[in-house]
Amino acid sequence: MNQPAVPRFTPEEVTKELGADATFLGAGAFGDTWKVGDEAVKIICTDDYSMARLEREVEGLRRVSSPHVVAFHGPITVQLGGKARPGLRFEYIAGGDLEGRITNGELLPPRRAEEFLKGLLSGVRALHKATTIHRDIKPANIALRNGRWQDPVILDLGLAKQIDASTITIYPGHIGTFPYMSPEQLIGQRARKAADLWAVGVTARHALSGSHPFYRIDQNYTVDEAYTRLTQGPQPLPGNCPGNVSAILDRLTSMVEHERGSVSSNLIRLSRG
Amino acid sequence: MHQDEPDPMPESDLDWSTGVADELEWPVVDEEQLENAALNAYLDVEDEYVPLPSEDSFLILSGNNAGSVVTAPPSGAVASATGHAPPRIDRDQALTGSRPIYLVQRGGRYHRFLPRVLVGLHAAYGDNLALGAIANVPSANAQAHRSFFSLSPVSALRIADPQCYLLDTEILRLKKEPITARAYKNAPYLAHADAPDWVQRVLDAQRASGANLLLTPGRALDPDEPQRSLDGIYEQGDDVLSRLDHGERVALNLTLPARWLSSTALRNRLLDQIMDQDQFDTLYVRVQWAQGKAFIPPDDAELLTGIKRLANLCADEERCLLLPQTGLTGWYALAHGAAGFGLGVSGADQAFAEFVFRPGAKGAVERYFEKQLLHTLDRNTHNVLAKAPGYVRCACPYCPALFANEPWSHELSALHYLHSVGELTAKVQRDSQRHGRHAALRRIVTAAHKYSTGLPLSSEQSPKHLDAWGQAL
Repeated sequence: MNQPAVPRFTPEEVTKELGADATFLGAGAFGDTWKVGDEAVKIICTDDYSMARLEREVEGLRRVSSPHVVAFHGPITVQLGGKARPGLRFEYIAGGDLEGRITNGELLPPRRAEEFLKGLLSGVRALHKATTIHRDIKPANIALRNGRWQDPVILDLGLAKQIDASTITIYPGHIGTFPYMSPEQLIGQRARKAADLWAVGVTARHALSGSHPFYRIDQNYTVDEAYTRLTQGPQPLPGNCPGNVSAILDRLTSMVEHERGSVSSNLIRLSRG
Repeated sequence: MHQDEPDPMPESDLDWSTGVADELEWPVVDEEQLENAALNAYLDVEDEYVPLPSEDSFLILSGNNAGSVVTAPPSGAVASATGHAPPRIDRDQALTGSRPIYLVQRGGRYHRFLPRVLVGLHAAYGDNLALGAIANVPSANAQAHRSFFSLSPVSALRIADPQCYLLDTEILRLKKEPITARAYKNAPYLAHADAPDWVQRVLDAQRASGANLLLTPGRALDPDEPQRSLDGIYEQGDDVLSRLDHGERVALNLTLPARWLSSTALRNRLLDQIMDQDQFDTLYVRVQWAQGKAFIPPDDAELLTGIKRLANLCADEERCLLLPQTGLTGWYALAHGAAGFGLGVSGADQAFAEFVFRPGAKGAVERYFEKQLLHTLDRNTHNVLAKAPGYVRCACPYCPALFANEPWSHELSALHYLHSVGELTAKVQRDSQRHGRHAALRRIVTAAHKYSTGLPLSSEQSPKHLDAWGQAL
C-alpha cells in the first residue's frame, strides 16, 4: 500500500471508536487500515460512502472461503470526524507483506516456489469462484501466514481494492497498480480473470528474483513505453527455479489473455511436476 | 410408429453446387430413384441382430427394424457374426469426452436410413465412439423430430438445433429469405426474436423436439462488432442457464464466419472470452466457411491454426467442444482437442457454407469416399484406384451391395461415407493408447499421404489437404 506518513484520524480517536487499541498499519487513496485486536480494519475516509452500497458490494467477499485469501469478517460503521464512515473487518495476518520482505532482501526460495505459486493460484481460484476479480494482486497485497512461503494470503480483496485503491491512475477508469497491471489493463481494456493470473505471474517472478520482471525501479515509463516493455518479455528467472514453476510463470506472463490459461488448468499443470 | 414426414426440401436447398470438381454433393433423391437395385439389395437382407448383454436386449442391424433395440430378436433374424454390442452410454457419459463424439445430422430424405448407420457403428465401434443425432428444429415439426430421435436409441446425444442464426442475414451469407414458410411454422420463435420470452421459446422448442442437450440460441457473432457481439451471446447464454430445469444440460451455441478463426485478432478475442467465461462446459461451434472452401477439407494454414487453437484451448480448460457441420475437418480437429464433430449427407449438413447462387448441376456425380485417402473421388477414379496395388476394399455394411449392383446408388454411397468417417473416428480413439489422439490421427494422415503418393490421380482429384494437415499436425 502507499503509505502517507500520517493517518487521517488519530490513534486515540480510532481506539475510542472501536473500543480497543488501534495501531496504524497504512493507508490507501480512500481509507486507512488499523490493527485492532486480531483484526485489520479498513476505514473508508471518503465522505458520503453509503453503507447500502458497501453491503451490496461486499456480498461477493462473503462467499470467498480459502486459507489463501484473507478472511472477511464483515462491514462496520464508525463515527469519525463527525461522520458515519463504513469500514471492513478482516483477519489480521502478522509479519508484514511480501513487498516488505523483498525490500529487505528476503526472497522466495526456489524450493518453496511451487508451494507458493499453488497457494496464490488457490487463493485466486477462490476469488474467481465467488465471481470476484481482484485486479490488484501485487507483493504489497500478499502476506505469509505464520511467515511461511507455502501459505501466501491475498489481501485487499475485490471491492476493498476499489475503495482502498493505492493506484497510480494512468487513465481514468484504470484500476490496479501500474507495475502489476496486465497488458490489457494498461491499455484501458477491462480486467478479466486473466488479469489476476498475469499479476500472480509478475508477483511470483518478482519474489523469486528480487527485481521486477519488466520494469526498472528507477525509471519512469509512459503507458506506451510500459506496454512495449511488456512485449519484450520478462527478465529470466533464477537458474535454480524448478522447471515446472518456470513453465507456469512463462504462461502466466503471456501477452495474450487466453494463453495464460485458467487457474484450474495451471494448478493441474503445476501438480504434474 | 407414425412418422410425420417433412415436405421435400426444395432442390435448391440441397444444391450447393459450385461447379468445383471436387465438391461433395449429394443430390435430392426422388421416390422413384429409391427403386434401385443396389439399395434394394441392401434393404432386402434378412434381419440381423447383435446381443446387447448390458441391457439383456438386442440391437437390430438390418432389416425392417434396423436401428432399434428390442427385448427379443425378430422371428427369422440371424445373429451377427460380430459378437455382442458394447454397452450404450448416456448423455453425461458422452460429454465427459472420454470417447470422441460423432454427430450425424438428420438431414432431408436420408434421415430414415440414419438409425441403421448409427446402430451399425455402435455395434462395431461403440467402445470407441459416443454417437449423437442432430435435427434442425425448423426442418420438421416436433413430433417428427421426437420420432427420429426415438429411432436412434444408440444416440447418447440428441440435439435439436434451433438455427437462430438464420436471422442474421447481415452477418452471414445466407440465401435470400433463408427462413421458409414451413420453417416459420415448425419454429415460430424465428418470427418473434424481439419477444421478451424469446429465449424461453427457443428452449421450449428444443425440449418439445426431444433434445437431451439443449443449445443457446446461437445467433451469429459479428466480426465487425466483436466484443459487443460476444458479450451479447454470453448474456443470452446466462439467461438460458437461469432457465434450465434440474438435470438439463446446455451447450453454448456459437455461429461464426470463418474469419473469427483465421484472423489472429478476432480469434484472440473469441478465445479470451471463452477462457474468461467458464460457466459453459460444452461449446457447440458452427463455422461458416467461404463457399470455395466449404466442401473440401481446408488447407488454409491460418484457418487450420484457428481450429487448432480453439480445440487446444477447450481441451486445456476441460470444455467439451462440438463442431457440427464440419465433416472431415471436424475429424481432423479431434487431434487438437475437439471432443466431437458433426456431418451429414446433404451439402448443407456437410459444411455450413456461404451461399452463392448457382444453377444446379445437371445429373448427380457418382462419388465415393476413399478411407485410405481421407478424400472423396468420383466413381471412375475410384474404379482405377481399386485396381492399383495396395488398395483395400471397404468392408462396411453398404459397399458389397453398392458395388455388386447397377445403377450406382447415391444412397448407399452416402451411408458408406457416414459409416467410414465413424470408423475413422473410432480408429483415432482406439489407437490413442499410443501417445494420444493427436498421434493416432497424425499416423492416419501420414499413412493416407504416403498412400496417395504415386497414385494415378488428376490434379482435381488429388487430396491436397493431406500436405497441410500433415504439417499442422
